[in-house]
Amino acid sequence: MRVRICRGHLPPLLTFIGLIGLGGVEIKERHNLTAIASCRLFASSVNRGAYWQAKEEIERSINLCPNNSQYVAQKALLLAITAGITCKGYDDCAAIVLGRNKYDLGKIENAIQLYQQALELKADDDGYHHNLGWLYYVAGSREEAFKHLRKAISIDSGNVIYHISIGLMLEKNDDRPEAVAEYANALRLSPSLLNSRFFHDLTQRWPDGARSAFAAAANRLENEIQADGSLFAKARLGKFYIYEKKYDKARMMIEECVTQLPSLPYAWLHLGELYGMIGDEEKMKKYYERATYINPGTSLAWARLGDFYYKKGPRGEAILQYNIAIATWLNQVSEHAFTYPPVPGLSDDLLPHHLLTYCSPDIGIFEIYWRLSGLYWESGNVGMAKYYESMANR
Amino acid sequence: MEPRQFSDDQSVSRNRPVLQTAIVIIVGLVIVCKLLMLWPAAILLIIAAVCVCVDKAINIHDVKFNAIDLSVLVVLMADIASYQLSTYRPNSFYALRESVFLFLFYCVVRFGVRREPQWVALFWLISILGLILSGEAIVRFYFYSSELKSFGFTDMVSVKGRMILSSIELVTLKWMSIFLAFLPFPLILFLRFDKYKRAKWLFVASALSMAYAAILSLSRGIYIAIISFVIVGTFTLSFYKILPMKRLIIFNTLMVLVLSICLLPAAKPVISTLGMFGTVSQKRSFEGRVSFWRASLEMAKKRPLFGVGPMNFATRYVAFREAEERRGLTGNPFNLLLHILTERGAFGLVAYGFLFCSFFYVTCRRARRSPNPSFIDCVLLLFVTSIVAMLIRDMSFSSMLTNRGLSLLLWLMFAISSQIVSLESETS
Repeated sequence: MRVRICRGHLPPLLTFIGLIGLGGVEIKERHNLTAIASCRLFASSVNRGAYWQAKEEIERSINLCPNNSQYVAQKALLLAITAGITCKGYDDCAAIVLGRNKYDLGKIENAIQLYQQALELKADDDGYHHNLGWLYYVAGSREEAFKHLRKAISIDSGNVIYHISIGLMLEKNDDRPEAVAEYANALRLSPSLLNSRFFHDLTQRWPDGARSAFAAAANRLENEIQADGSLFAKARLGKFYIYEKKYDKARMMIEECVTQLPSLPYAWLHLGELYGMIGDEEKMKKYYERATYINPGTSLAWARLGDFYYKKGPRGEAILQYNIAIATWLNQVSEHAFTYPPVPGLSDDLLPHHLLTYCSPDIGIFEIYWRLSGLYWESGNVGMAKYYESMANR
Repeated sequence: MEPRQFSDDQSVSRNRPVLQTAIVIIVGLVIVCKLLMLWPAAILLIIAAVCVCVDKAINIHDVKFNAIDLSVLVVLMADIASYQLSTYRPNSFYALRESVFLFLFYCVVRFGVRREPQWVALFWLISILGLILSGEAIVRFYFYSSELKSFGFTDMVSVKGRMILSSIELVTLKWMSIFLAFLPFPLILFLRFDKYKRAKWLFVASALSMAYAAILSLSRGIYIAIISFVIVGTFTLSFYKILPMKRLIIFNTLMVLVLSICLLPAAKPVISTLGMFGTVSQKRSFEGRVSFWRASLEMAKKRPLFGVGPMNFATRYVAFREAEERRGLTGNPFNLLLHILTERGAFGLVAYGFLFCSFFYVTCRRARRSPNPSFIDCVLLLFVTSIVAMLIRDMSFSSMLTNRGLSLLLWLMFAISSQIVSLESETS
């Protein structure tokens, strides 16, 4: 029997083709959603320290979506974390690079393979190159490590963490001028580093290096301001002046910046810090509030607001601000993870694990835990008081 | 304005009123779910498609195809090819899913919603939805304004990055373009029901509310698009003798007057936005766009034919942006043409170009200059006006590819326009 297709058959035929197509992609989407759910469970398991469960969840995601580099990379990240490339106390990242830790080299080899696989699926991903750099470094292949880290920087030269990573390795290799240059790059891009544990450790470990990096970064910012009067450079340089306790100069620079560009959260943050140092607490509060409004992820501002309410009351407000400060500080998102379309999994996806918190402004987390514990005792919430006490004792 | 009678399909449809009604109800639900980003949209569309298949299989009759139909198919093919050649398919899959959804939606509306009462029902629904969503945006704007004041910010335009005017979409710039797609529907109903002296002003109020919400976005691109909508609309409607120029000018003046009065509480930020380059942040925003465009062109040069693949702009752009550029999430290059070029390459650009050119060619060719204009002429011309405004808006953003609700309304306009043209030629 011959079937003759006339124009009248085309509408149902086209609709049917679309129907089959949509059915197909919807079935695939169901797989994607299941993989995403598993990846979310993976992230929460890692945060709880339940690594076996995390491994199962991420493998389920990989089985469902084998072409998704994100899942492969998250599994590699898990292996690296369990191999020991992590800053457990948030302040011992430098220990990794200085060779004071022991690692499970078998897991590291596996993690390297997985990151290579992820790079085959998604070429030129700066985050994967950065993490491979660390893995090779720990495995003893220095040349490969630098190659991958330089590649990461060539892809995203504005990422502060990449400059710090390579700086730490160069410092260990005794390539001191290069290390200073990388630290200066990082400081210039993010002067908030001056408040971090990283910079604190650097000044303790290598005071001359810290001083040189500081001077080089400030010098570059001054040149930029002279060249084009950049408001961003002014806001950043203001922070350097605060660090040097040149408060009048800092205030002039940052206030000029916020008058013209009120949408810069770090300018408000620096202004808050400045007034805190001068002792004008009302202005400090006002500017920290603006910083948190423009960027709710500014944990330092939340913490200092908590301090304000801790001293002046109401105490309930202090509890609220401190809790937000802790949440934003512990759940930091790397620029690499902050992408579109958003991907689930660990948002702090750069190695060593917790390097982000090590390089972000120090909020005095243990002091906050103690204070929260005391505040909850006062309010009669014994459970929470004990929880924060245990956190402080960790 | 009198409805135009189409002879062919009416008798046929009379035999299956239940199926026809079911299709239009399901299509309406699909529109609601998609605009509100609710999950059952795909399932509802599949049900609607099954109904259309059954309807068309029972009653096979010749359908006149036109260039819009062909171009929609070409766009789907181009999107499938882009997916296959994508540098990273897991991201591109989301765009493919969207393309297939839009294609099926087009087929369902094109072949299943063939009668004027069905269109009018959909227009009613979209107008009501637009009214509700614009109302939400207006209320949120004034909440946001008072919140800013409580923090001591005086310049709203400079800190509008935190402004969220919808519970559906958090990125205001992306969301607010949708009101340009909503605008023609109440205006069409206003012209359709012009005999109802009082009721027709309800549609004007709905259109005003949408324009008002769009203005509160404080986006220069949207302002230029609204002005284009008024100019293009006035010109086309008077050229095709839908309404006399004098009446249109009086109508527009009245609307501008009402809007200006309503905008008095938000006068400062609106005037500041109209200043275009008056503040440092506006200048910086424009410089940022230029930097995006420059970097996107560099990106397009690397893969000129097929691009990096749909939805891969954000991940690939990292390697091309200037180190000093403000950090953060960037899903598009702030220009529709560059967005298509970087993600889908020259082939994609040709396919989408074909879609828009065929739409303008087919609709403008069919719209007639007659002393007794019909309702469908007015539908075609207002769709043309809205799509021109959206294209102008997308020279500084890329809402058509990123705002799913807007692309759905766009494909609805394509389908209904194609349907009208096809039915006209079948009748003649």
